[in-house]
Amino acid sequence: MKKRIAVSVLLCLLLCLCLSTTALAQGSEMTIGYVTDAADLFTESQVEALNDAATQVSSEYHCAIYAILVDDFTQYNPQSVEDCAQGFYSYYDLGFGEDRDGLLLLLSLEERDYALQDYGPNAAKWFTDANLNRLESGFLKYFREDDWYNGVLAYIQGAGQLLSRAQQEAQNSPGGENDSQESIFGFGDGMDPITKLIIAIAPSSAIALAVCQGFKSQMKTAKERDTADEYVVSGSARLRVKEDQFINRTRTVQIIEQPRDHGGGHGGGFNGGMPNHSHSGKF
Amino acid sequence: MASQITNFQCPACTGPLHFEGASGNLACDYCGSHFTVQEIEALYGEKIDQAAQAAQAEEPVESPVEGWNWPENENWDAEQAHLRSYSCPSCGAELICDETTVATSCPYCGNPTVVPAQFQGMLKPDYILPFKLDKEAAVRALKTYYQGKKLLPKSFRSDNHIEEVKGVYVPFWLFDGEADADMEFAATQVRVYSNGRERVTETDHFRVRRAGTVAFENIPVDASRQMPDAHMDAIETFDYADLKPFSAAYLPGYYANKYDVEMEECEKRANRRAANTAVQIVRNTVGGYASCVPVSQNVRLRRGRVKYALMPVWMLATRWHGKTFLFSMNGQTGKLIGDLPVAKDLYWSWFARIALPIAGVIAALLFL
Repeated sequence: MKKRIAVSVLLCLLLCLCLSTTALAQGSEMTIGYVTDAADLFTESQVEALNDAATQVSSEYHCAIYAILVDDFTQYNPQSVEDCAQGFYSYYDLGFGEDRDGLLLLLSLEERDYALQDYGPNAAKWFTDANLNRLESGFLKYFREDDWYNGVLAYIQGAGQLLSRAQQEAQNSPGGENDSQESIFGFGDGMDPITKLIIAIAPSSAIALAVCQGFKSQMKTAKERDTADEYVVSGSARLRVKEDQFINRTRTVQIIEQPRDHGGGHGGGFNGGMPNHSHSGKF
Repeated sequence: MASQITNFQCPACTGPLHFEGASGNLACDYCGSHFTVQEIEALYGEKIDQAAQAAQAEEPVESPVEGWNWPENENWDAEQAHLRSYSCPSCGAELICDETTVATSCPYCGNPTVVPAQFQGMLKPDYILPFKLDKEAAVRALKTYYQGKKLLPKSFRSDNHIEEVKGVYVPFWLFDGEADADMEFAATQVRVYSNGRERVTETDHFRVRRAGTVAFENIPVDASRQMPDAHMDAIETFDYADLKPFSAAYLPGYYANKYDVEMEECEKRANRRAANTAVQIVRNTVGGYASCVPVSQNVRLRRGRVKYALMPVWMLATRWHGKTFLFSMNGQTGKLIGDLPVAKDLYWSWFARIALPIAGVIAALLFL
């Protein structure tokens, strides 16, 4: 019980500090694990087992998998369970690597609310809305039965399976992202010699071909004309109709990824920590 | 009986006269006398009329094969139908010409000869653009044309020799007209702004309509089937400021044909060119948009005056490896065009000389 109160108070305090003033939170060194049980539902060994599973999936697929269980999300953010989840992700600087790819499940037991959100550019590709729906259907059935442990485990394993499938598909697709990154930034690092040869020969051949075709075109100068520009009577062009009619306006909004603030603890950066997809509901 | 053709002979020595582009006069090859176009017109005007009348009186025109018992052959009959035979007034030799020939020279005595019946009445050209450049200029232009052609076989320059250089007055129809283009476009304006968290792209879509008219003057279309269209188009443009009312006095020393492509047929080509230019002009009036895609267009053409003119063209033929290469030069501006042979070995040699160093640099970056 002591642990539950301590974690709740700490989360609440730090989140309030984050939302109100960044300066007060500068000195905090608080971090949370992949599985954070603020609702005191699991034994220590269960938390350890779930954390191990989440750590394995996260490090294998370079995408952090988080589960946070709280008694009542309104203690941390009164607005909505989604805002609360976003606040946790933002404040605790969650995510894997530079891109901060990650998936967060927040369970609030009081009103049986949950939020499932993914963050980071790579996670956006892996966790599509359809994938998140599939994942939800896998773990919600356990939570409806109050089977918290198996619910969180199903969430972690389901996320792992989705990541495995998505990354496999990306690798199999021609011109996958890894290949293109290597060819652009690696100056051939990791490429096999045949690929290097092709890269060396293809553009040079294209340039040589273009130049030689230019030389060849000089050899053929007898061409029929399609226009009569030279025979326009000077000043004769008159515009009779000039209509510009506005039809409609379309608007596209793109979230700008903000650089991380490394200057001072938790209170600062991640202003653009908006989720790519956000699902929420009751279980 | 008057001859159907006329020789232009020097009034001083009866030597052959030819029109000299540089001076704009007619010069005698033998005594070097010069005569203005007006002087020759005055001297030969009556002769030309008599020759035309003689041709009319002798219709149908005599055939070069009359009286001979040739085997029946459809091709020969067709060819024969397009030939005309005349007697040279200077030497009496028989001249066999194409039915469209207006001016030529006698292959026996070399005298320049014109066929007045070919430019009388309805067949008389409205204008003629006299030659400004002579044969030497054409030969020089061809040598210059070879320069800088990296794929030209070396032996083409050294082995080949000019087989024939002919100054030809080519018949052209010159079309005046007006084109009215009515076009509709789908256009967009794009505004991108950022509020720090979001990049917002606003695209405004417009329906744009433009309609306008543009007038054309003297769009040239060659009216001779013997002349390749691509050649005649490529040597454009002519400076029409030098157009003269037609006179046979400009013809001596050159070949000339009357038209054998009807005006209605040539009009299609002129219309196509005018329509394309009108569309481009109207399209260029649409500005200030990020994108502009034509959705529909309607072009109406109104034909104006049509003129019949003879234009000066030097035709040069060379032979290399059993193949004839034809070049055309604008006899007024000197613009020369013509297709040259491509040396495959030079092509691949240049390919290697360009590709290998570049491939080497890229390979060094990748492998080292």
